[in-house]
Amino acid sequence: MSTNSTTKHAGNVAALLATLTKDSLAYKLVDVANNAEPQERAAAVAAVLQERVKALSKELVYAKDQVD
Amino acid sequence: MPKIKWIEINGFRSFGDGPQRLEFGSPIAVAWGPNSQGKTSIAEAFEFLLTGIICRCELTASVQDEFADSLRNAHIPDSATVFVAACIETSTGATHVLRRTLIEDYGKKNKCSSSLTVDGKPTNEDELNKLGFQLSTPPLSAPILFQHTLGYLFSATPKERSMYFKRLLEVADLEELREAISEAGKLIVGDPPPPLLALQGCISTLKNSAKLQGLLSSVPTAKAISSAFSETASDLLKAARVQVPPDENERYAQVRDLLTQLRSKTFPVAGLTVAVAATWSAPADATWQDIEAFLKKAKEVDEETKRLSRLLSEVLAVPDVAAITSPIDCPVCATPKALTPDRVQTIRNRLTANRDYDSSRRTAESALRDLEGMANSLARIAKQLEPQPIALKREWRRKNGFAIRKVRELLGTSADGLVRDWLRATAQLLRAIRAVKLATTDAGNASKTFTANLANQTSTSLLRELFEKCATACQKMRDAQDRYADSTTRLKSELQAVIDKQSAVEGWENFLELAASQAELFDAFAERRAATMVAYQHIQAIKEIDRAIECVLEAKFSSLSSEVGVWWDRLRPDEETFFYSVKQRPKARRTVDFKVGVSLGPDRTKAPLRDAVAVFSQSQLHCLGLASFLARSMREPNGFMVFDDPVVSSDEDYRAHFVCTVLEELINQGQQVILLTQDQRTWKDVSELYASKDVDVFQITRDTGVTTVTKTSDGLAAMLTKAEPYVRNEHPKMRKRAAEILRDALERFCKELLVKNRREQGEAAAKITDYDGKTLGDLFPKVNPLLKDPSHPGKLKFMKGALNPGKHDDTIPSKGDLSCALGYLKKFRADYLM
Repeated sequence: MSTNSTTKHAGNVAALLATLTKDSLAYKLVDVANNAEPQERAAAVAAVLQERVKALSKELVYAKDQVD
Repeated sequence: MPKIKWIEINGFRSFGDGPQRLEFGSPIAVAWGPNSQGKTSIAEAFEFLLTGIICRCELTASVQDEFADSLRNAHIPDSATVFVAACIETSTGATHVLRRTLIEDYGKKNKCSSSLTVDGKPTNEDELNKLGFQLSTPPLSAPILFQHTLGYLFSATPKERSMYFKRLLEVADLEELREAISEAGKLIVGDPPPPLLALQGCISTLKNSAKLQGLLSSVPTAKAISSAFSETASDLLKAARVQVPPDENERYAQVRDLLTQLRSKTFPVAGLTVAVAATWSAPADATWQDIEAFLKKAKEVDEETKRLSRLLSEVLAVPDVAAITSPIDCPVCATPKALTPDRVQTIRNRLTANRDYDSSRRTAESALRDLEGMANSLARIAKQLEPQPIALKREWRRKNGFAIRKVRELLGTSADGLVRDWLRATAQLLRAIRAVKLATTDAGNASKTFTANLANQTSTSLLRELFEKCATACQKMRDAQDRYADSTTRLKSELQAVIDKQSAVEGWENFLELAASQAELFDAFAERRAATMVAYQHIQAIKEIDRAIECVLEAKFSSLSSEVGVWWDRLRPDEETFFYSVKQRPKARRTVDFKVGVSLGPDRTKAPLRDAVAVFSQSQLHCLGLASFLARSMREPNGFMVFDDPVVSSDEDYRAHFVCTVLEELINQGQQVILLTQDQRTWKDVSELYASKDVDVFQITRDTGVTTVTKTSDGLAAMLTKAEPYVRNEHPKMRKRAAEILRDALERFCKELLVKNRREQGEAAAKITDYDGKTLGDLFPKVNPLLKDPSHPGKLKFMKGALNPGKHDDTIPSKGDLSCALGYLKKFRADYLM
């Protein structure tokens, strides 16, 4: 990506992020994808989602322990 | 912003071999040529130089091969290089020469390739950014307007038009980002966790699985899972008419017993259990060192002391002997007075000198016991590893029906290989065990013998050799055991399925395993639930991102609409039908509409809106395309714009506004404009209207298939060229004509020099027409102070005198005078104006 395109891309992403709520999942995914190399974006976003699955899974198990 | 000082084209499109150079000294240039003379080739040369492609190929080629071999002129020799070069001046005043050379033309299946240099150094497109070029996303990268770019907007499919604007508004990158985020959703939706897969497998094979089935419909609580398993166990036992214990764990134990019984009735699969034996290691070096240390010590101690050391120790242990002060009778041989205090001291000294002997012996004896124990231990391990059917003896096999014939019956002929492998592995293991037993027997016996004759041993080599044999045999037995375990597992697995089917206990084993790992099952349910929730959140996030991209795009569309509107109004002021906006169609992300207001009067506020494509004439659509190009180019100003016939010649009003208003506005905004037109009137109008800006005027012609560009606006050069054939002619009329042309050229030189001087002094508005009506007599006093060479004022005066008669119909100047005047003027032009 040329310097010029990089600048435009940065501007576009900044405008996009400004439209999204900062603590939303959408914001986080855009941020993560934007900070990854183009060919690694999907994997980087998937890693975030997997972490989320793990955390949520732990919460559900913890809730079970509390009930037990 | 960079400005173009000149462009040179060689072998590109309609240009022949031999560089054609167009020099630009003014902020505006106009080139005229009839159709098919090479105007578009010039515009495409600019585009090729900056981008390495021509967008016509990208936008209009329905199939790639239409553009095959299209960049290289078909008539130039193969050895000719195809290139486009340009000299640019950056905003800092620095000049650079860009040159792009065609390496490979468009092919039937491949794109063209080229190399770019800046000031002779190879570089890439990033360097253009550093020089101040702001190229957009391909294929509409360069600030060059073509006829096909104008028409494309309205003839494109909705999807193509949408992509055009997304490229124009530079949001294609956000679409790519969104696609990557969307793609990631597929990566988290995988197979269910292993415990859930096992449960699904269990349910599909187990009868009475209705209670377990209920678990799959939602995320069950731990209690629900426990209850479902317990009740299923109860159902299995009831179906087998077995009493159901109240305790849950007892129920599973009962099911296990029942399963074993039922399986055993079909085949005693317990006979295929693989033993797990303890580990065994060969004797450590320390063991051998202990024994060998004793053997060394034994050599050092004299035989008599070795023989009597115990006896003497016992003698000294007698209190009366240890403490004698005078001779006493020997307690061993009863010789009277034989044991004197001196002799006791001698005995004591000898024993002290050899006291390590016994200690070393004890250590060696202990090591030897260890060796014997290790041999026995390995023998026990070998016994433990005996294949179960062998270990369980023939009576057991007969009683329980464990027979290879039965195995073959159950598995059928398809499992012959499996059975053969198992039998081979069993035989190998038995041989290996036998070898271990023999080796351990030998090693154990040797250890015993060695211990019994320890005092007479001299070397451990035989013993070592026997234990090395044990180690080797042990390793072979382990390897054989691994192969046996592997083939047994495979055989058992195949057999188990058949046995379970014949015993009507399919799924029981899985059921019991799952019942024992309910916590893992609950965790798996939680994980699946979490994955489902995150997948839903991901979909919602994508929707949010879509909405956000639309917002970004809407803002850009809104801004672009305003800018297009400004240019539209410059091109078509006072028109009742007007451009309103360009925007995405609501709820149709891939459709972009041009909206126009259809007004009946000057008040546009209540004008109904319609689609441009439906309402606008062809001329208006072209105008809208031009306004869109101008808006886009001014968003990312490059310092120059190239227009290839932007106005339809028949559209007089529109043409006039473009020439008068738009071009002036572009120049005022600091843009260099290069206009290529087939319309002679536009050419003439621009030449005259912008004469004060010394507009560069070119004429494009094509002869024998090759485009030639002539600069017609350099008045002095043109005059001198024009005079040359007349000067050489002998005919008086011709010489008179030469004198007239050269006299005009002399006036022109004076005026150009004065204008140049004033501009250098900061008077940017100085122009040739300021001196209209002035004679050489008026001009010389002003020019003379500007001449650098003292001989030049005289030469000016000579020319005036020599050329004057021509104008006033006096004596015709001689050929020599004319030649001198022509030579002087050429030199003056070179010295003062170039």
